[in-house]
Amino acid sequence: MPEIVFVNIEKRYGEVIAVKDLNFTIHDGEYLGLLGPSGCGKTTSLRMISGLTKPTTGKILWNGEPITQLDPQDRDIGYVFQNFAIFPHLTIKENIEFGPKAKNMRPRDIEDNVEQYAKIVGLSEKLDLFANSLDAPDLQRVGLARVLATGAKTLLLDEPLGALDFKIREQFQDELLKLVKDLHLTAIHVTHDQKEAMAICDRIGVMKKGKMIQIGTPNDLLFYPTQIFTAHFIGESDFFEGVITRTSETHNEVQILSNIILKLPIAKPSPSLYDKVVVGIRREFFDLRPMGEDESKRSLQKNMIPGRIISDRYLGEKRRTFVQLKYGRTLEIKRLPHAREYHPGDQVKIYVHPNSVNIFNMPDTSLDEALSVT
Amino acid sequence: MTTENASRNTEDYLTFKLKTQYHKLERFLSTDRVRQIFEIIIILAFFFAVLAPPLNLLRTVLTQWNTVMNTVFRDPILRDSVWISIYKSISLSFQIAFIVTLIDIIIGIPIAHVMARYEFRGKTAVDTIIDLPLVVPTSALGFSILLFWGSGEGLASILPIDGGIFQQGPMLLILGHVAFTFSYIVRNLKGVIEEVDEDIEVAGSTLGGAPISVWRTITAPMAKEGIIAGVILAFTRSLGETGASIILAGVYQTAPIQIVSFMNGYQIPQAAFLSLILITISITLLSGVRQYARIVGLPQPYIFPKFERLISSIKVVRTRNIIAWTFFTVIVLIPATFVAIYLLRVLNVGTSGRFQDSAIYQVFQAADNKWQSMELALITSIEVALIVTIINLILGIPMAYLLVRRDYWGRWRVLLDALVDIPLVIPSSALGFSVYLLWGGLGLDLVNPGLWLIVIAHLTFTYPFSVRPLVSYFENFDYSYYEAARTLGASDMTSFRKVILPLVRGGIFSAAILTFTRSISETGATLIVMGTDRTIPVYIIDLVESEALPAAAFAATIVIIISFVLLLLIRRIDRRSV
Repeated sequence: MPEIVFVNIEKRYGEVIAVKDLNFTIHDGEYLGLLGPSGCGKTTSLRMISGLTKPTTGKILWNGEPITQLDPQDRDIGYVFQNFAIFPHLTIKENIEFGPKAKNMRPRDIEDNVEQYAKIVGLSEKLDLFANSLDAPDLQRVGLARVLATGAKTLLLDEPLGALDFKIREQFQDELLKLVKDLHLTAIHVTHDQKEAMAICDRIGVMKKGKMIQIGTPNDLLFYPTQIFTAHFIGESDFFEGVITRTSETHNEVQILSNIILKLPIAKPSPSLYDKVVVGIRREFFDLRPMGEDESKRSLQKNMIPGRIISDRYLGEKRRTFVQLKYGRTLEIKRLPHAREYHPGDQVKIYVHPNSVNIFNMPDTSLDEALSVT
Repeated sequence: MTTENASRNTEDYLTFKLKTQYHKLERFLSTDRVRQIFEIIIILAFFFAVLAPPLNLLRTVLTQWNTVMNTVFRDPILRDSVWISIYKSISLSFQIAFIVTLIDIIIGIPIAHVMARYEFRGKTAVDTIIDLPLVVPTSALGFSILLFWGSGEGLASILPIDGGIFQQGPMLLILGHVAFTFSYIVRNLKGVIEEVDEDIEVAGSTLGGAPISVWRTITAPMAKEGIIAGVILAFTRSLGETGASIILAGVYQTAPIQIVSFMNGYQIPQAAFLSLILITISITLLSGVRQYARIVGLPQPYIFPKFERLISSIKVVRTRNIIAWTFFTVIVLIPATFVAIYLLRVLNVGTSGRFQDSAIYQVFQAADNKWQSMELALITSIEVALIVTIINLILGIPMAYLLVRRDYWGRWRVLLDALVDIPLVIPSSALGFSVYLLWGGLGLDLVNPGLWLIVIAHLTFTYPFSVRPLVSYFENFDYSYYEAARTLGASDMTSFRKVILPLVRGGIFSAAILTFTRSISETGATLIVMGTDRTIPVYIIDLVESEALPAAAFAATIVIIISFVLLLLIRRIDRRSV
């Protein structure tokens, strides 16, 4: 029943701070994703759970017991590598046997374990081969079997799909998720691919610059981001600086782009009148409508932004439209492929769905700083 | 269940128990405390093997400064004549080393470039031949060159000249030194040129640069460190070489030869003084050039389009290549292997037509029974080389790993890394003398000249040869294998033994063979510490000095063949492990 708790973890390399103020819990049986741009400290966090890296300060608890200073070989935690790290001088069988032997299991148990886990990952036929004759997905299957054969119930996955072909990845995601759930494992999965994290994780921790920005279910992160960076990194959003111009029982009104008014339902925590805020709108939730002849002269409706089409192209499963707003900014909008086609120069109005808008407090630093990935 | 099954169960159980004990032992050895104690021992061993002798030499000269002054500068009868001869020998050594390095660079660059950038039939064979002088005992090489240039048996025999073309002396020294230092430059240059991405060169030339401009402004700066390393190595090798020099110098004395002759006359203060000067100059030179190279950009940034395009033209390049290769063939290849041709000629019948002058007679049938002493020398050489290789691997593997992986040694590690290379640049006779001074009768009085002092001296100067290849293997090792082993439950020690060691075995083999060949081909240090024992390179010198040339050719050919086989082995391993 492993439950892993990070208490005030900090890791420094000389002057460089790799991670800082890390406090979170990984529940038993949970599939947790650690998501963030490269250099955000997600791999460092993973390595600290495994013991390959020791934190500078703070504690890591394992079922309430501190394991912070324990060596990797004394923890029951399996580590799966992006580049597989299958020992090239050993056969697949010997690779899987390595852990049980190192942990000094009885010979009978070792044999059973190898057989059992080779079968689970579907490698029973390939036990006598060497790593160089296996393809990438099979190598990662060996990586999994090798870890499981040690009896570890916690899997640390460091970009486990990173070295796999794009097409194989989705299939492998399902395989991985099924394995973890069937065997009641706890898994911590590091990735920089938000789609991958959304697809398999129960909860996702979004990290940036060594700090945990937000941790929650994929749904929470997508629809209720508490931080600008979350909204920026999960899904694609556009951000506008604005000011609260009116508050009521049910709605706030925000003024953006000098004279556009958005009427939005109350968010928590609710800002007060004349607060400076940042408004995040996801690219899929813009609605494009053609602008009538006389309409542009009338005063603008609420939740509408006027603009002019720059380009409108297919992009695989989406339609990608660039709109030049009246106030100088260019907006990228994602639409369904069969949506109405526009031509460059067309006058349009962009309708913003009130429920898809997130309001954030103006960050202490600049908006660019809050959005930057490094 | 049958009894057979039951007995297998107990057997299983016993091995299991045994493994458990072993398991615990390795875990114990992996604890921080034990590991650090072990590493301190390794560093101490390095200190005693490599650093202590030169330091002791420094101490001796300083504490006995009056004796040194009285013998070198103020001898009642000879006055400062010892100093004058020391000065002369050092200046001769430097002049030769300078000219040799210059020739090496001029001829080495085109050849290295061809070897790195072109594919042609027989390239592997040429490559092997270029490497050959690295492993052949220089005394055998020197003898071969003496035969070719300096005797009536060589080039002179097809020309209307009586006797040799050159007398023993500076000219022959230069020819000989070029032959065995040439490989260092070519090998190093070839390595660094290969590492420069060819696409970058292509980019340079599509932007309009002539090949020479591209090479000078793009390739050379990127390969700077390697070029400098090669130049330093060639220079110090020429400066400190003894075996070939003794054979080629005649009445002249280079500095390393003078140490040997001081030692033969038991002129300890003089030998100590000269050794200290040589060691100081070599180390200063090494660190100076390294510092200087880091600060100063090597090539000119300016491009001279017309001129450089002109000398990049096919004709010029072709002429240049032909000259370089001809030079290589005539100056290096043929003279270095001439001894084998000579041996074939005198195998059965001497040049005078008498059987008594043939190699067979001299070696096997003459009354002094040279084969017996030759065999003895050969066995001594192999014995020494084997012991040295084993000890240096035991010391070298942990040291190399420490240098690459043990961050907690911090600055000490950087210092150690620099110190390990010291024996590479010190003339081996000076090093041999320091070893004698520390361990022999005048110092700790623990080991008398003879087999074991030879072993200690060889341990000292082969140390970097066993550490360096391992360092580069450890640096290129993918440590996720090690981390995988750790997370799978193996201790530090177990992971090292079961994962890292098997995967760097190529490096271990190269280190072993390099150490072995270095030891088996060394002359300078051996001459000083050998006592009554003889190694095969020294034996060749003795044969040449007693003018038993056919017998010397026989011995030289044997060691060249042995070296050649070892070289093939090195190359095999290198290729497989890449």
